[in-house]
Amino acid sequence: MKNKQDKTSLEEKYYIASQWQLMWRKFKKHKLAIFGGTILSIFYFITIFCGFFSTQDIYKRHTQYIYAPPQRIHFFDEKGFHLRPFVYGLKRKIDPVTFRRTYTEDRTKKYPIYFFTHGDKYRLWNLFPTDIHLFGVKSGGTIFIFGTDKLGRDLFSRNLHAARISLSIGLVGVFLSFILGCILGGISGYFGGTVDMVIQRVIEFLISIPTIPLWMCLAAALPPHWSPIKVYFGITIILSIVGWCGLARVVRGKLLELREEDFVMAAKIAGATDYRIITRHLLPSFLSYLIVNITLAIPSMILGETSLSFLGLGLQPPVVSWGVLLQDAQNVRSVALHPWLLIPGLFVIITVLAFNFMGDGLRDAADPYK
Amino acid sequence: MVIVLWAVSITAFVIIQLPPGDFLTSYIMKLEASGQIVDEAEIAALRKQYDLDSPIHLQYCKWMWKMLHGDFGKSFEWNRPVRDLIAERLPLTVTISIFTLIFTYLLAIPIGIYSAARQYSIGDYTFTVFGFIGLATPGFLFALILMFFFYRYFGISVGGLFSPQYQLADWSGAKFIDLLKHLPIPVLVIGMAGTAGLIRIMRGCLLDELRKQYVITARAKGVSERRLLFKYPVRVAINPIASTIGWLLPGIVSGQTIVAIVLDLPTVGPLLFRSLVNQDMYLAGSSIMILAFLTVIGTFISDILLVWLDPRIRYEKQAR
Amino acid sequence: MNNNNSLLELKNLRTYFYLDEGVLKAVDGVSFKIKREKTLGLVGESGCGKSVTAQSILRIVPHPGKTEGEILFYQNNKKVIDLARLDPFGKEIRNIRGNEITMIFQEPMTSLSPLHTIGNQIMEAILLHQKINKQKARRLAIEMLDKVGIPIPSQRIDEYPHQLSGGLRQRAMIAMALCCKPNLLIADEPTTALDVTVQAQILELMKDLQKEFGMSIIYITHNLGVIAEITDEVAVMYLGKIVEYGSIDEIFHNPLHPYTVRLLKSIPKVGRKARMRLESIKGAVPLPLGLPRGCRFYPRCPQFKEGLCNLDNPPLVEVQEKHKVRCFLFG
Repeated sequence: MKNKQDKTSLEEKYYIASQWQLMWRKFKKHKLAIFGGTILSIFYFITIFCGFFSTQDIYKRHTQYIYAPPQRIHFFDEKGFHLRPFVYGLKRKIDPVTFRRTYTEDRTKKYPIYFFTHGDKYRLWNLFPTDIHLFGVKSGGTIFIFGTDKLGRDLFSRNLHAARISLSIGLVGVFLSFILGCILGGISGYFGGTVDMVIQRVIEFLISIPTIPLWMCLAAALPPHWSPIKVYFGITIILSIVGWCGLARVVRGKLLELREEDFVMAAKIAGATDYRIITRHLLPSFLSYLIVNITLAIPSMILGETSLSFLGLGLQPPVVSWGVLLQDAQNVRSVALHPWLLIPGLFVIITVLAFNFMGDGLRDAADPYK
Repeated sequence: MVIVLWAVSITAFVIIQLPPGDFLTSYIMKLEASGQIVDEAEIAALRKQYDLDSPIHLQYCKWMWKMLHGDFGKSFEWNRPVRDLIAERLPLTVTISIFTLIFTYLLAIPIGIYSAARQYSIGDYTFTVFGFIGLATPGFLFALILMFFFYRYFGISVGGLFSPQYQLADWSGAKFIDLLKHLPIPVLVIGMAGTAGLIRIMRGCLLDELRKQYVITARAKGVSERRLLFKYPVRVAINPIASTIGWLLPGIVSGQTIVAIVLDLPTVGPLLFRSLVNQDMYLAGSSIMILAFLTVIGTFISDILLVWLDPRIRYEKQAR
Repeated sequence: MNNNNSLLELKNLRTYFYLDEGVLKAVDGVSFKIKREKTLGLVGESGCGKSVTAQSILRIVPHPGKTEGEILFYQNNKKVIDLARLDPFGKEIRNIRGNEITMIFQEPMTSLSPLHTIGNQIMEAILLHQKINKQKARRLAIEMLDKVGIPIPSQRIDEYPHQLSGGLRQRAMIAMALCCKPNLLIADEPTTALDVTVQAQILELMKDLQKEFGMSIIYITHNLGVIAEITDEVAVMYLGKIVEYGSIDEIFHNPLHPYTVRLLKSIPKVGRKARMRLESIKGAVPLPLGLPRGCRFYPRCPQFKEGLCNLDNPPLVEVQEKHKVRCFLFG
């Protein structure tokens, strides 16, 4: 008897669960989406505290260690297992003929890794001066988990700082596209007529132009004397110029569909204003679709920034983004000798993959009643 | 379509006008930097030659007028007519685009059909994973990785479209074969993202289509599964595929631009890039116009194809 | 062995869908017989398993459904085939589908391929099952279109479905289903999506053709008025089980199961008092997922008896000849 009552109450729960609860339940079933979401949360978390997680100052040059390969983290030495991980020092050899540097592990030098250690000074969020890092070695030692670049700068720390730009540019860009897309798509879909026609033609036109050449032209047009912050926003705006089209189409399509629905008609008869109908009745009913589309639009923003910066048309050093870091990898020969220069590319791929996985899961979840 | 092309030309012109200063300012700066004396008279002559002093709308009209007569202006940097520079590279650009398009369809359609017909099979999962990675990898990075791989393990460099001995040679059978040998890698790199996207679309469309009532009707009629797949849903699913040229082609041209820079291909992309860096305005404007033209015309062709494929659209057109 | 002239016999047919949420028992132990040249009506609310029963007979249950039990099909040559044992993608079942057993569907809008002419689709069915050439098949198709009352069939045959009205499309569907002269036609709510006047025409047409071809029909609907028009026997289904089974007269004039009684009361009748409200059955059909013990109808039943109905599932008992009911009130 009790068992049966549980059953019916469970069933009732299914029917009265809100749309968001149902979506969340469905989303949780999508393993890849959860995986992607977790990775992204970790990335963004690290990015917020990138000064803390990196091991040193990103502009500090270790002239003794130019193009040093990644140092492996060890737990075992000739004496056996150590709970505290350590890295071996690097021994440099320069080829007398080609001047090529080669590095080997110097087994005699051992630098144990300490956590919450003091290192290079930095300002957390540009506000709090501190020198605590998550991990590092005592001064005198070196730790280059991802190796160093042509000026002997630590690539691990640079990658973490680059993530700050690359990951945020996607969000900011999508935010701009979202606003543009909602406004223009909303106008287009809700009012129809000539306005709709004009906006649709503009969208068709923008979509028919190949994006990268367009971005390239616009990015090249940014004045060279601009400050990095200005360039950053300039690039974001350029990325959104194309980005809003897709969102506007989604908004318009959904609006056209919903405009015919009875509850909108009911609201209209009840004398609600256009603004009220749009914000109170229409927006909530396709918010889930918008979220899905936003998630799927972020990767193209990130890829766009990376491509532009890679070509040297986007962000410029000393600003670091994954694209800027990849500039060093333009030459095949240098990549062949120093493959760790491609690590930023790996981050780009993982991030975009994670966004796509999450977007896919969200898309499935957006239709909870299906 | 004409309106779109016109809009393209205006955009191209505006884009070119956007950078502060012009070619001559940077030219003067370069001269000054190297310590040379700038001859005012020479500058004035150059200014006149390139019409840099007249108002913008006049510059545009003149530019358009010349363009309609086949005169694309002169490149400041190369000191050659823009038309010749583009004409040299345009055939290869079109060739690569078409080959990539064919490659994309040849690969994506069968895989899409397979994935839909054998949903949740190991093959389907494998292709899905590859598709995701293909979508997530920027073309230039894939090009870099391929180049790195070939250089590291086979010791060959895979850039370019011709072997050195054919680079400047006239067209011949041997040169053509040499081109074909060099094509696969650019085509693979440029086509990857499009192929991955198309597989997903094809699979999605087919799965939707396979669930539709008329497929069930046909099955209830005794039609075999294979025939069911190929006679009905594939036809329907091909439609969106045909209409995807609208975004596939811009994607290919766009991807080609950056991949060509990395792989050092003699196409319009790198030309555009260099002209932008040097603010070589006629060349940049013409390059982007040509690229946009290519995609607009390609899209137009795909629209015609679509009407031809789908009787419903054909019918509506007739009814009008 | 084949006594009293049966054509198809279902014995304990079960079609379960194995979902992530659990096992959905869409059809749970259905048994009935169809005699030659007779019509059986299958009635019930949406979601009670009528359509899945029909799909099970043709073995076109969508993934991840699985069919068990027996579906005995008595062919003309006295051979008996258990359709439930055939490979759903195999050749044997395909030779039966569209040939000996055919089916028409609810939505004439979507049941025909939008990209092929109706002639193409009818001829496909003919060419699949008969060894004749294309010209002959075309002639046969035109003949069939004429028979189902499509005007100017020689012209209509080359038209696309979207060029035809709903009623004509459903006629085309019937032509397609009948072109191989089947022994059994399964009609899954064929008139639900049509106008009332068109409905009547289609029903008339089906009755005429049944006489002409001498076939049996399983007629699936939730519309009891239609059932009265066309069927000889009626099976009322609720949540995957048959709750009452009997001749058309018995069901209409002597309904026993509370569910049947409710269903009948929900039909509007001409001449009833204007102020009287139509009675409806309270609640909706629950999902057949993890059903409670006992009779499936008890949560909505007005004559529910505590301690009886919610403990055991009542058996299907024969109350009188040709009238069975699944309810503790009669047993």
